[in-house]
Amino acid sequence: LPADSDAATRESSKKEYIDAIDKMLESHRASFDSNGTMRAYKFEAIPYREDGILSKAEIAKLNAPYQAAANKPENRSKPAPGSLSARVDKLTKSIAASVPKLDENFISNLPGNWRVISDGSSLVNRLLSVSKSSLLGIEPSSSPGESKARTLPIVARALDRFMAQRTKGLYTEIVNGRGDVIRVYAQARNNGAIATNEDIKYTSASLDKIRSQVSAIKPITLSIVGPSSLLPSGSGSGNSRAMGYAFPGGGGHILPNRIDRNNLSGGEYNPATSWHSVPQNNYQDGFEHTAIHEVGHVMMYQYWGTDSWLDNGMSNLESDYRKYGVLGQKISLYGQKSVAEHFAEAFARYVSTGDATSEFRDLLRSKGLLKSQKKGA
Amino acid sequence: MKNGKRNHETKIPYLIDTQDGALEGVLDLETMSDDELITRLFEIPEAISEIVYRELAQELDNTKE
Repeated sequence: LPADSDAATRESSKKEYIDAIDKMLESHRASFDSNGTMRAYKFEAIPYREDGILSKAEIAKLNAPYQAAANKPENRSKPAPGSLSARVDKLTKSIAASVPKLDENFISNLPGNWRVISDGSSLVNRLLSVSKSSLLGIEPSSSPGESKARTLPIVARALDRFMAQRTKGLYTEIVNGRGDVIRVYAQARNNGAIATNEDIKYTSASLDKIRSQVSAIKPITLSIVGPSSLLPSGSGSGNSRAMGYAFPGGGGHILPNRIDRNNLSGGEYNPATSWHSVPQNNYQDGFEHTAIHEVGHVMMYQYWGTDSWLDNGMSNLESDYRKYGVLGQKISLYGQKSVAEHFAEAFARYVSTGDATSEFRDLLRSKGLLKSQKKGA
Repeated sequence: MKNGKRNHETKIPYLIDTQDGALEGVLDLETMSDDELITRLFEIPEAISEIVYRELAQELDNTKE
């Protein structure tokens, strides 16, 4: 087999090369199946490595099924009992048991290839990854092994405290193939989901509308949260009437319990008298408007600046509002509050109806976001 | 700590949309209590970064003592 592989390499035949490696892997796997006398086969997550023959993209594609198999719980290697890794593993399982349980069948049937991730490991792995890069940022000379050894106990303690609080900050993630994420938070007092299937459906529909109307956008995270949960403290009485919020890095948030079900601002849209830029005749309209409005804020952060105090995101947006003649245009009463709210309202109207002033289109065009700038449009 | 400085954003602006209008403000992770950071562990990536920073700072203080 190695000879086959070498011959194929010399002929620069990737197909034969890949076939040869596949045969070798198959033979290797099969050898572990004999009589039960050999140790159980341990899944190798990345059998294909960079070797100067295959491109990075080809390697990623070839490794994908192996990584998927290695990620299955039964194939994961088990940490030694009593070790820190075992403690984190136990906490990961505890998180998996505490995240809201969603209707996976319903979600998998939604348009857009959505699937539920609820095993807890993606949340914990993200924590470990961020904490390691934080340590390396503070202490650049730390080796990867050292950074793991130092951050693992910190993460373990943080997870211990998090679970001891029975916190409301836990969620189940739903992801699609484009990298978009819907986070469904747990109820404050139990593990039930804040969102109904209806809410999840409207959230995914909002993301689909955005994707079909806006070009070149980065992955979006939309969270469905509870009324008493994660609003920034210090925001005063606004907390009790909040319908949504957004911040850089955190994505958009929707509070379904605050979406108006009764006193809806329906009828004809008029920028001078309408509260919002899109008529809202029912709960779905209100929910989707809030979701798209919040994504508008996220887009604003992504394309004009993430931090209005450090990289002048709001100043950049306001400057472009002047440059393209959007400043002073009426979009809705809600949009009069600030340039940020005007943008979110105009963005929501553009996504929901396709309507926008030529000046607002020019603004979107300047960042490559206009529908007509989509590849193949 | 080698450079002794935080390597993450600590001032996070936010916008809240309410039934009455919009509010804006800034979350300041440097002044946030440990408990609130823990609550936001999975919400704000910078929360764990701040926890790591505080633990390292504590280690350094203990070393000095």
